Amino acid sequence: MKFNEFFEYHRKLYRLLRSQDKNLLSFKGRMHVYILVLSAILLGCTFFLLSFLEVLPSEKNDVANQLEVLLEDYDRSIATSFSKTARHGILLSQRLSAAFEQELADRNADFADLSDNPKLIEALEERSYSILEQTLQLADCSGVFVVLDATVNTSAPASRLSRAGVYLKIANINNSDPIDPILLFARGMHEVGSRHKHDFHNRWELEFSISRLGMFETLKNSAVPDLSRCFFFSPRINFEGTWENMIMLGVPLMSRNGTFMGICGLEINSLYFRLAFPLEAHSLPPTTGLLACREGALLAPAKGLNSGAYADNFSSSFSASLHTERKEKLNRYVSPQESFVGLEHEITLSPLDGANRWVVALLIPESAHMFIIHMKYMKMAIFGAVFLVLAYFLSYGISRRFINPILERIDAITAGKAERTEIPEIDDLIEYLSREEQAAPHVAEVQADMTGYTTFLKNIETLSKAERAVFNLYVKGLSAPEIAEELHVTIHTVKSHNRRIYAKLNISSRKELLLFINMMKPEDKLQD
Amino acid sequence: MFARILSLVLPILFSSLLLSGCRDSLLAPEAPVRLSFWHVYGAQADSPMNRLVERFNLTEGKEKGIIVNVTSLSNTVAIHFPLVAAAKGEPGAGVLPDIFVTYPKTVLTIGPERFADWNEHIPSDVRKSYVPAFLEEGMIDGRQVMFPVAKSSRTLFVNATIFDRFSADTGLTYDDLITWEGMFKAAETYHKWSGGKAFFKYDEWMHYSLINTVALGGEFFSGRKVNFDSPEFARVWKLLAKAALSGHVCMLNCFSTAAMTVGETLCGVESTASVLYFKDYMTFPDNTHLPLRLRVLPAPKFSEAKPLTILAGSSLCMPKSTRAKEYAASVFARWLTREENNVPFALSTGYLPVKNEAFSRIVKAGNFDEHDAKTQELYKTVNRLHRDYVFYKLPFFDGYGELEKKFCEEQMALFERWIASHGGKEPSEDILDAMFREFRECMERP
Repeated sequence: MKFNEFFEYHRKLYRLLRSQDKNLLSFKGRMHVYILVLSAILLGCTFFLLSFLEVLPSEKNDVANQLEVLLEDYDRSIATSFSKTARHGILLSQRLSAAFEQELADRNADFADLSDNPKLIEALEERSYSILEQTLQLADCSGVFVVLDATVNTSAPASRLSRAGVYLKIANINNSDPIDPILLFARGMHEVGSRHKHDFHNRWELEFSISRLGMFETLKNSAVPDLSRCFFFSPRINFEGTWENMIMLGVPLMSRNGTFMGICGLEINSLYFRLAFPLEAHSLPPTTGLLACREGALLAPAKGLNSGAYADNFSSSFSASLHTERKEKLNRYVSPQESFVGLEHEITLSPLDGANRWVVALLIPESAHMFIIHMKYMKMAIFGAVFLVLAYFLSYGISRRFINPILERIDAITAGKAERTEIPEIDDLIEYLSREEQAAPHVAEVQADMTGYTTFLKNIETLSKAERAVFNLYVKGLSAPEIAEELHVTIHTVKSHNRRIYAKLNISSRKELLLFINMMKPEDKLQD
Repeated sequence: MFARILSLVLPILFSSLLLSGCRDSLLAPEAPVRLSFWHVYGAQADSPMNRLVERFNLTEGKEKGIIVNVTSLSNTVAIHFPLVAAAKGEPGAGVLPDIFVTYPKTVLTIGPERFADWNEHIPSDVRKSYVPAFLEEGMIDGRQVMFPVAKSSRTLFVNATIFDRFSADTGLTYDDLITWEGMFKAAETYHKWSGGKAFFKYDEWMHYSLINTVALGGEFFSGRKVNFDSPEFARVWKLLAKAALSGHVCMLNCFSTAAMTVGETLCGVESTASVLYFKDYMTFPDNTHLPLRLRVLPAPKFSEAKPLTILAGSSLCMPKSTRAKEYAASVFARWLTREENNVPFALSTGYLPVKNEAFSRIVKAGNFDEHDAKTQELYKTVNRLHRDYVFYKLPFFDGYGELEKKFCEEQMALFERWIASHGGKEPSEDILDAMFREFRECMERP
């Protein structure tokens, strides 16, 4: 029954609100709507105030702040690691240079005699092997190499670009720093590799091609005795015929008399980089870290390495340069395949960086970023909606609880059962009405008001079927509760009809209604 | 009225709850599941698997919310040890990846109970489309703990550039390489012709003894140990030892592919997947090059032996994980083995596809004209293997991986010791007996 009452109430409320005849809105309905509107205004003000005071979380700021913190760490770890790698490279160069000079002295040979002298080259490669191996064990890298400025056969095709040397690579990179690295012999004389019993790399070659090792000429031309001012991290190169992309550190090999003997260095491949600099930001969408080159408005990830969610397994997303749109909080990076948002810091890797402006950047896909912003707004909208629904029911309950006792008292008054209540205002009203009744003019005087009666009679026809039914029962002399019982409706429905009947017949009280009914001729009373 | 509304709302509410528990809801494109993946396809080459992973990430993975990250590339021999170390939680070993490819020996060593059952995520009607023997290989204790991605066999790769010259000078032909008797004879001839070079290499030495012992009707294993009492095994092993002491066998510590490209040996028995790793040229000590042509033949067998060929190839495994990761792994596995992905991958890597229809078509096909010369040559031989040979599934048991490792290391060390003391000339039967006895002692030593 209570639910029926609830739905009946809302059906009527809806119809009244639609009819825009707000005068027909009941006291309870008005109070319900007022509390609801007040709640909505309070909610809106709260959101506005929180937003104005920047207390309300903004996802854009959150992501930017989190990325900034993450970028600080990422940047620092890369800078530290590359700096240590450079230090290992310089030490490697010093040790190799000393070993080569010693070997040449032992053999009473000069470095200039090296080309076309396979035996001497083999001796130097052999001498370098253990030094390279030790460096590979100690340094943060995936490979180590030495390139001599000499070739075994100057008459071989392409010998101009061919240089002897040794290149060792780690085969078992499955965490960033394998404790027990398995070595692969990637470059060097076959005899040297066989002697040390390391597997030959499937892409083994006897010598290096300096056409693929651009830094060889750079270092040869800029070599100075102070190696701390003369090392170089190359932009990414591919290990020919394999999936491996890598950045190479190069350091010149200088004899004590200033002769350029070649270069040596360390390799950081894409897999090693990915494992050494993982990005696990659980509170952020999948994030990718880049060590890339900045070229004006373009960021060139293909010249560097990357780690994180969209690392090398999305190489096509990073094969093209990313156009950068600088924004206040987060930059926008656009490639033909995908758009990202993120942040970047400039970083210096070596004194010979020159044209290569290295940057460390963190990117997240723009779509993922938009999704979390939408999710945040969605959460706020859901919160607001839940708040309003609760406010609606609460206001319904409050208005019902507050108004019902008043209505009950009014019913009692209209039924002539006026008695004192615990509501002072109602008691005042009862007192006032009883005083009014005593002071009311005589019926005869009221009868004089024929104009009102005429209107009353004329407007009876405007009553709806339901209102006419209620009216007819008043004519028969039934009270409001009796009418409710007769028509099988609630007392509230009868009251609601009463209000409309009063409005249509232009009367202001039940007393006036009963007066006019009494004045009606019997034939008027019989009309339906 | 209220009851009527409830009757409408409650079914909708329950349906939503049920749907949220369904599998597809385990994945969300906006919050992708990340899977770390260790594999063995193209470690020292241009990995077709890496390209496939990238394509998955950009298509199916992006649509469903899965990112596969390759975090290690190695080979089927090397991958075993870091996986076992990671599973055991050894210091410095790193974390076990979410999915990896390996042989059953790894799963047995780690413990099959630590792996998820693929059948919980792949319905039976889908499984029916796979070659039953390949699925069966991954069944342990009634659970599908390994899922087939690609399979391989063993073939003989011959450096045709040099062999044709050798053949022209000596009269030996490729037909001589069909049997081990012919191989040993050719090895002796080549040793003299080349001025002392080794003729052949076998990538997994225990497989040589195992497959030939079984093909001759012998039992290679006695329980979980090598059966040194098998006369077939003794015969097979001593012939190899004789060739090794005579300098006919390449003892380099590398795959046959590498040994052949530096001219250290003329041919090698290795996985069909080796085709991916061959360069197109050989490099000589004076830094000159020669184009490398390949001939691919079935692995040799003894003349009276049954025609058996090893069926191998690692499978995909996933250690038990969250429901979301396991389901994501199954989506990836099914995508990898879709015919449009699996067949091009198999053909580019020397493998066999794993679904019934694709497998039959590849092994029965006689024409691979649209592919490069190496692939044509390989799949002609695969066709021959399917026609004339019986595929032999390697027996795996707990401790197999350690046994295989010990066999290879002890045999290599033994050969080196005996080569140092008795090498360079044909050994007597007494020496071979002594070597066999010593090998047995080494293998039986704990």
